[in-house]
Amino acid sequence: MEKSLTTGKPLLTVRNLKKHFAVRRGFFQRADTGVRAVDGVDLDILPHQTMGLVGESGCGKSTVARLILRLLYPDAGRICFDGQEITDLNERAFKPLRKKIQMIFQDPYSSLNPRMTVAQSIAEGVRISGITAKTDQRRRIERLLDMVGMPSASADRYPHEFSGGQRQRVGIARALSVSPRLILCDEPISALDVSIQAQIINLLKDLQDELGLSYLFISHDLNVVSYICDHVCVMYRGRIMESAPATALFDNPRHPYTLKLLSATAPLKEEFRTVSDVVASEAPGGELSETAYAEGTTMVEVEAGHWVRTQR
Amino acid sequence: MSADTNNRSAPSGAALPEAYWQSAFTESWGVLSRHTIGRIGMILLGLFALMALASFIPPLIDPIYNPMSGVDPIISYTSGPSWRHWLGTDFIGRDIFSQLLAGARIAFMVGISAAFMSIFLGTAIGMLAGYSGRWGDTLLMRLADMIMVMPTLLVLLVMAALFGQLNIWTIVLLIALFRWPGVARVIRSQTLTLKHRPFIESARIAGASHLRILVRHILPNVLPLALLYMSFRVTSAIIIEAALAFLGFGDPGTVSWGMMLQWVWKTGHMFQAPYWLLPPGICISLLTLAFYMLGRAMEEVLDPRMRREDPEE
Repeated sequence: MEKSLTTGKPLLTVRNLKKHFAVRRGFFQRADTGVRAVDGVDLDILPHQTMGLVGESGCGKSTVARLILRLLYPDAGRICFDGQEITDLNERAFKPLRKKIQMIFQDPYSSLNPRMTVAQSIAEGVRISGITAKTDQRRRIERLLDMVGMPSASADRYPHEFSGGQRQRVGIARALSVSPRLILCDEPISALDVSIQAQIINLLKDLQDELGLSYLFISHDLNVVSYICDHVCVMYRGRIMESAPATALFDNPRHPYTLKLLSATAPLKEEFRTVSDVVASEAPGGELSETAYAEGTTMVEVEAGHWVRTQR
Repeated sequence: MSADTNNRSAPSGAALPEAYWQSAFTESWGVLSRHTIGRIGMILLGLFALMALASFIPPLIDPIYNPMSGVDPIISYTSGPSWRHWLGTDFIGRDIFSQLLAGARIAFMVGISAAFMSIFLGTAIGMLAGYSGRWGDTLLMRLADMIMVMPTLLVLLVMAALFGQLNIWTIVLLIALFRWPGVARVIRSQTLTLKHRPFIESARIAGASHLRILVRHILPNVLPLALLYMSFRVTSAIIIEAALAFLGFGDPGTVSWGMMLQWVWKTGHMFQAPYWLLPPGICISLLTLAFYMLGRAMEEVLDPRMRREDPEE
């Protein structure tokens, strides 16, 4: 399952990405310090690899994806795609990149326009980018549907006629329609049944092998992340706590928050059951307060490629 | 943003496949025809539509049945129903039945065109306001508030007093100009909820421009709501026109039901000629009721939780 970590040039580099949301309070609508949704995130996504981004809900995972895709504008930091700085591009200059970076959404029910047929939804990106001649569009859509395991007859039907898993397949076909190199998967399976989840995950893996895609896989499900990801970043309160190759992270978690997260999910391995007790006993002065995790200012490389945020 | 306003008006329905509207239509028709109130409304509307269509016939049979200029050579005063004049004649011997038919045509014309224009304006402005957010939103919605607090009938009366008799199309236009804010508010709130739906984000990721998102993604989703409000707007437009005509500020060149009532009143036949007074009054009530009932039924077709607006406002 584990692909060897190639130390090539990263496809996507994110450095010190920040996004704060102002919270307006009081009669005069003063902008307070606000919510630090993303507070200095660094990511490197290598070609043909899957980067996992895990963390509890509200820790800023999805915001990172939205910042990369420019659905939101970052307050600080740099984003480079394929060696090109894309942070300050305007909408027009960013347009060619819409073909290269795509997204799969969490909720397959609301991510498709209910008034558009499957074919229309899939064709939208193709039409806008004009990558295919009009006469070939139909064939392309059918091929895409075939690729995601949907019958070509479904092209002219409406989203409400499909199940969640089928809609998610349509969503994947939609993302693939413009031949992207990077797909941001924002919790692509958490709205689906467990049996369907496995199918979608395998589909994503097959597509990656077939098309050489890179994924940023955002999830809170550690089991799934350990299965699909090559490298995993653990995020907490807008910051990366630990970043390591998947095997290293799951076999040898270093950061207390990672341990806590692992112990909170259904255990993959017996030993994690007692991990929270270990953390509590190891930490001086009892269990660490939640903020203490995020306080650390520096990341330390404990092994090759295994970075941990330290306490001071 | 002005470019958006202009182009938005292109009917996007054409861009959608026939099949969707077809299936949506048969589906809603099914619900509508099972709905008692909707059924009554539709039957009434059908009757009035027949009346409006039939309004072309009497003048063809005999010029004395022309609703405006037809004068019976024998009768030059008001008379009760007879075989010659089914509903009697008015104060100069014009046929009341053919006036009633012509009035149906005018009512449909005024109601539907005023409603259509106000819906058009309201949808365009509401979508723009909701989608643009921030300053555009504030500006457009404060404008809407300003217009909404103006009493339509009063303003129209003042205008009529200032500029003399208003043409029927001027009246239609003024009604439309004063009736869009309610629609705009509803469409704006709907746009606000749509704007944050993931399919809008996914369209942006596909590279869709704002214009494209408005026309292809938001408009088709607010259109049913706009059509629903249209039926309520028809009601209010008909009532306003009738009130204006009854008060003597209507278009003197058209025969509307309000005009007929005005003639009854002006010539002092209010309580002398019930055959003249009642038909237009009943017609106004029934036609507005029909549109209202249709609107109520449509509302349930679209969404049972949807908030309703008082058509009298």
